[in-house]
Amino acid sequence: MPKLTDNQKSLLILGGGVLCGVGFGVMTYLHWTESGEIREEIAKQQALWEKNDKEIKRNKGLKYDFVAYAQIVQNNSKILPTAAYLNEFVRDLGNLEKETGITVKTLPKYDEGKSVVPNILKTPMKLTLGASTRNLLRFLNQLENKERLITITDFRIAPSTAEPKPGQENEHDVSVSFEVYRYNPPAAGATEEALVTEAERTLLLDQKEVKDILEREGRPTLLERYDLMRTREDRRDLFLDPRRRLTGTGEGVTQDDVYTKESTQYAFLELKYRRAKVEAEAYRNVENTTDFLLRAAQKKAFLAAMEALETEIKKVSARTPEFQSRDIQDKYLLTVKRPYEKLKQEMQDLAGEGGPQKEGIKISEEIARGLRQELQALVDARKFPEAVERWQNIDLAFRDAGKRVEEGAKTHLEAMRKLGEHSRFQKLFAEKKLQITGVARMQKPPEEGGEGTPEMVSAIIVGGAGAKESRILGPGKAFDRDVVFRGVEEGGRLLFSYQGHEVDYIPPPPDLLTMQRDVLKSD
Amino acid sequence: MIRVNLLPLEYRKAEATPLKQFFATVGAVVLAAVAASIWGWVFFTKYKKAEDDLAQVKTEIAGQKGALELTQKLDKKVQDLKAQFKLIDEVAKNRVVWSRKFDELWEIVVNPRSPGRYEVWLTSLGCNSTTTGAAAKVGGQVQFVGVSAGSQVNRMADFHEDLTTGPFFKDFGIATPAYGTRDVIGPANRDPKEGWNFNFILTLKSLKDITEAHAKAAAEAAKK
Repeated sequence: MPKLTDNQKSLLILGGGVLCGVGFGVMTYLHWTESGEIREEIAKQQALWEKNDKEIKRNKGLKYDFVAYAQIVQNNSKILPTAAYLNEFVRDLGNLEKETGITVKTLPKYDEGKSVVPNILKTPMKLTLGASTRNLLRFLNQLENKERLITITDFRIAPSTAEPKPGQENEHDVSVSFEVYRYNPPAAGATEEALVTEAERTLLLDQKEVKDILEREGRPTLLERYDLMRTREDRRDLFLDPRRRLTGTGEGVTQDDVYTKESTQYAFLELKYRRAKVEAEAYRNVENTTDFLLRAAQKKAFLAAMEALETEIKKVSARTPEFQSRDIQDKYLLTVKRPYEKLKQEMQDLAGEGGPQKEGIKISEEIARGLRQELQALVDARKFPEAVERWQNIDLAFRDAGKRVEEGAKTHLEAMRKLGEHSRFQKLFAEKKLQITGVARMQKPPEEGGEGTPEMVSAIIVGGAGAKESRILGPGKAFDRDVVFRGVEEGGRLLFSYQGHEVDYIPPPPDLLTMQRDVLKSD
Repeated sequence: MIRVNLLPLEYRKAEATPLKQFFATVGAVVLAAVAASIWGWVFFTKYKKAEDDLAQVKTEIAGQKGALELTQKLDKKVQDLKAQFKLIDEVAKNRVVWSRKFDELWEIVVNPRSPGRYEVWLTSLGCNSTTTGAAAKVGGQVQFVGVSAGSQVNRMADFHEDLTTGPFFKDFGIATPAYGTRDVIGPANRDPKEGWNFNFILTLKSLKDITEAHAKAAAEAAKK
């Protein structure tokens, strides 16, 4: 190999250096590029980290949500049936059958149901039954008003076409479909429930954030419940042909007989209604007067008239429809039932003591004193029947006034109550019409060796209104079950007790005056 | 011309590196050194650091796994709970209380606004509500077949009017118009003998609308 020249050597050295530089340059380029890629990867990973971090930071808020919504669901799910409740419900249908008077023909068959959301299963059920319309409505109502949510999705009634037997209602074929949303809570201690420990849960429930969610979202899920109106109990069956029958009832009673009977009954009802109406008008006329005793008396009269009317209406309402004759039924509805309901509505403020009271007069001590004096005057004049009536009105007025009675008036009220009670016993005693034909008073000789004033002993000779012969009664002797003779006072007042209450004797007016009073008055 | 140096080697003048070679060597060394330095800088300050950083981020991400899983579980659970809450609420609110509707319908059939306005009885009745809840445009249907006693068609129309103008109808959107067929209605011992057979279908509004209307009415009542 020929020896290299200096130039060649120089070129070779330089070439070596360049080659080395190029080698490093390539490596630099490769590492630079790769580091750029790594940086990109780092940026991605960094973004992932940040995203994760952001997610992780939600943990606290999610825990609040978890604890709060778990609490809300736990509370609200109380309206959903559980598996145990459903089994109980099917068993309970027997009781419902008895209570509502229906006949269950097919028991509901249900399967596990399909899951709508986690832990809640939708289970459809179907039931066929025989029931009168009234009982069916009661059954549906009880079903819908059950403590756990049951949603009726479909019901069909195929009404019976047979004529109902007297006093009975037709039973129709009914099918009822309903859905239950069954709550299937996870078993206690299940893994998914262990996201928050019990201690942590208790702690979180006290946090403001959880309380805020509970307050905002935790409103109770309320089930709409419907109460059947009692007033609608007497309705005719809506599947029953209401048209008037042209022939007899088939029980030996002709249509004419029924019509006459119903006409009389209607006339009686109408009379009762008119009476109630008159009493209502009379009350409205006096309700703004200051004479509250008159007002109380009128109220009493109105309530009595309404009660009498109500009793009669209840009697006829036991039938469906109330009257077989269509014209009477129409007249009854037009002139008695509807007006009665309207009147009841209008006079609602008088319906019972518990009802709303109109703002009336305040009974002051002065008024009470005046009333007491009037009552006392009647008692002193021995006008006991009038006193009893007066007391009843006063009592009613005080009840009406309720809390608007001054404290000082209450003492007078108690005194008047005693006077009223006394008058009542005096009146009852007077109605016994005792005829005392003689009074014997004698001195009882003192016992041997005894000292002091001799004791006075009295006895009466009494012959009752219907008594065949006279009887002698000493002190403490009973005239009958209610009346016991007590004795004679110094002034000659004869004392008795009537059912344990002290009364005194009022001689009855002579028979002639009692019996012929009307004749004398007309003369 | 040939030049011969006869001096012994130790006396000879030292031979200098040629300048070209020298500069070439220096240049080559400098070039290689610079290239190596640049590579070294890139390798250690960029590439290696990036690798370390990447490893660190990956380690951190791995460290997040537990907390992230908890978040995901919590999130899913919260979504489930919200769905349960919403469903319970909707199911409770969006149900038709059929006993109320049935009771009201009964009242209309047997008690006209004024006595004798019509005389109607039903021969079949079916009620159903949607099972798809608030989403459905129609909440359900009430269908009944019945008879209006009397030859006067206006009595049937009066019944239809009472049906569609009272509070009972407020949850319904559509009702079939008053129509029917006049016929002799048995049995023969009843008066009137003629009547109108009808078949009415009442369609409920959507359960959502009904619920909203009820809520509005309740709010107004509460205000009063």
